[in-house]
Amino acid sequence: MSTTAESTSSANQTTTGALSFANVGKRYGEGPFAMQGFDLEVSPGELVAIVGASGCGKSTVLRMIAGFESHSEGEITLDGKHVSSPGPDRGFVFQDYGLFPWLTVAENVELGPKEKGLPRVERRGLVEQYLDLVGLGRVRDKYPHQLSGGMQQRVAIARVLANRPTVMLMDEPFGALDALTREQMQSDLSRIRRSVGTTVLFVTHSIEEAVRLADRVVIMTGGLSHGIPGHIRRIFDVTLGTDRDPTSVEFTDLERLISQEVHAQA
Amino acid sequence: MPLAVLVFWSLGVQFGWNLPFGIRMAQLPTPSQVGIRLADLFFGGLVPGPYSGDIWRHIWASLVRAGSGFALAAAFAVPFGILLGRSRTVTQLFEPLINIVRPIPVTAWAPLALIVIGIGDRSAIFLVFLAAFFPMLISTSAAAAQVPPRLLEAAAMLGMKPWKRLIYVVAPASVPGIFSGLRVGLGLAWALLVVGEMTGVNIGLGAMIMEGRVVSQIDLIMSGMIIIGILGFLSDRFLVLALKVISRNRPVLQEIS
Repeated sequence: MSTTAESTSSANQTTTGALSFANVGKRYGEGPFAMQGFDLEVSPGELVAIVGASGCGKSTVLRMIAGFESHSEGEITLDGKHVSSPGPDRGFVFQDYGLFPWLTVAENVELGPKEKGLPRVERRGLVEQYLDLVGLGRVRDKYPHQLSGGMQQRVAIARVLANRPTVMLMDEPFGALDALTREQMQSDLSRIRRSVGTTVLFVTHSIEEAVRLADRVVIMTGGLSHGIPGHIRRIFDVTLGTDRDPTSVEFTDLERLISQEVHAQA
Repeated sequence: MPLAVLVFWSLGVQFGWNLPFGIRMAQLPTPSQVGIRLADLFFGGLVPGPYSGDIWRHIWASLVRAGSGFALAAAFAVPFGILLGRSRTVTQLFEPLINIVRPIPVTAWAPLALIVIGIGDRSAIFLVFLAAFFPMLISTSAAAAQVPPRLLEAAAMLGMKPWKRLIYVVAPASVPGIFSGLRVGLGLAWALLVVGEMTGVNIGLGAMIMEGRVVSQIDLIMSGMIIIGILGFLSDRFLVLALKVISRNRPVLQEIS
């Protein structure tokens, strides 16, 4: 936890958090496949962004890992274990935060450690550590409705991290925030994930956001409304280093490349 | 507004107005007569009679009946309502039964209760229980069914077991619905209390009102009505206060996104 400052974008001491999708498919009942042949390997500590048009099933991918939805074909494993029902090893950050309105900020963050049965002192320590990490130490006794959207999302991130998950799943986490807050949250997320080393799977509809944050960008296409099952079209490696400048030529080139791929006809 | 009602009332009695429904206001006592009777009920010495200065005994008896019937109903209706709102199996098992029993007016239960349970406290408490139970059950289960799925997903991914989610997520998220059910139930508890007390028991506000009818003391009837109204109002205030104390001022009543 101490020497994280100069670690590069994906070089972490993490050894857990290997996610694997093998030929994953999903259909509702006997209907057509909403997703088919989804293959992806995510290494421990990696941040992978999934982009694609709405309806391509990118959120469904996250919800299947989380165990909120089932898959009807193939295998999803986390560190070699099949995932089925939701569990604290897979933290989820929702677009609409999903904080408990009747609990204070600190109590929201403490909930996971409490469910694990950790003693009070240890819980308090975790709450403090992760609220500080997201820069919210001073609002620990406020209720969610007293905070701005950006702050609520920080609480949601701290709540997930305090549970020490092996993978953090983020479903358009900054989609509801204004542009300025969004940019701040992006740079904070870069910093935070480098310091905690958790694997992150990140769904977004902003290609810029994906290029800015991810080690790899997965482009999904298809989906029920397009008449073909959702699948991966292409995966881009992002080799832009830690401090990424969205105005640099390399950045904008990659952004354009991905954008063309997303919008190309299936 | 209460003042306007008083003025209307005393003028109506004075001039013998006839209102719609065939209400003959000349039959009524004046507000001051009722006021004197109320004072006598509490302090005695103004209107000699069996109730003079003795009202606390009756208030207490009614309060105990309404309170225990209501509390009993809440103790069953809230947990059961939460299960009903969240579990398809529980719904399938109980919904037909509930929907058949619920429309039966509680007043129709009164004769049955008197025969099967007998005259006394237990009949009255049972009727209050029945009256308060269904509105609380329905409103709790509707609230529990509408808990945002997001909150349940959040609890699940944080490692909370399903049964604990009922207590720590569904219950607090349903507080607005549970609370409005409790308020409706409390109102009905008072209504049915009077019905329960009008048959056979000697002590209680309903019994007092019934006695007022038997001996044609309309001021006694109206005093009983006013006391029940005030008790109903105060008990509702008490419920609001109790929620504040229990929730320790947590934002449980605010809209959940």
